[in-house]
Amino acid sequence: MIDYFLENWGSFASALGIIVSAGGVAASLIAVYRAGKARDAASAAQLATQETRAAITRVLTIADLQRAIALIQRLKVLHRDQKWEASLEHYQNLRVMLADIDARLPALPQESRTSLRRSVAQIVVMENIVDEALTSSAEPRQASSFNEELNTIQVNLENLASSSYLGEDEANR
Amino acid sequence: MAEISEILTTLVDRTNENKVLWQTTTNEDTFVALVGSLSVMINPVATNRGGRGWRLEILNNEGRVIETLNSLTDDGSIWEEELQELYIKARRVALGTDSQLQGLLDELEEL
Repeated sequence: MIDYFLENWGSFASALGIIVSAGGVAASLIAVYRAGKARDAASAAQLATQETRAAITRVLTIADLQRAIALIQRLKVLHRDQKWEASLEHYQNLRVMLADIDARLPALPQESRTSLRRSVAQIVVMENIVDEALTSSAEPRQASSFNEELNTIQVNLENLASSSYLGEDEANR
Repeated sequence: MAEISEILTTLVDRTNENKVLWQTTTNEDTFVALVGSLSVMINPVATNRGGRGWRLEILNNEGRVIETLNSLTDDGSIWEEELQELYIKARRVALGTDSQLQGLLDELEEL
């Protein structure tokens, strides 16, 4: 038996090599299969993360739009009551809110983006007029057109809110 | 780093080429143009002695002033001519003066 083994050890070694190789191939196939499953799982997880992030962005944006619209309503009342010092405290908040909405929606249509940026500039002008008037203890010039401008801004924001509610989320496009 | 004076001269050039869309604002003397994420605003400024100058402001996306050029200051006074030219042109673009005057001329020629 030992003699037979010594004479044919090469054959035994080859057979053992084949068995080890076959085991290696099987292990590789299992590894490839597992990697594929893991990739699928990773892709699914990534997709779920993106969808969750888009949903959160949408909720936050709608909340921001509602807050901005509420602030515009508040400003219109303050303008009507000619409470200029109180108005002055709100312009900056409104500007920052609009800038946040702008920044949060990278896929926003250019028309809506231009409208948001134009609104920010209009609020700055309003703020400057009120600031100069308060500094010189005078009534703000062209104050009668303030609420008209705020109405325009409000309508644009309401349209934007409607598109977020009804259509595909802008951030998801 | 770009200087505000360089921005001014480029703005004048692009405005003369009708590539900058100036718009009216709540203040009838102030005109604004949106350029990328920034806004450019130009308006006249008055001195206590009845003099007049021009102020160009660059605003960031939140409407905060990030740079100013005022012809009433020592630094800005050398740019008075360019600022005035930009203001006049910006006003014409924002109010659509050229097209309206052309319309008036067309009407007059038909009389």
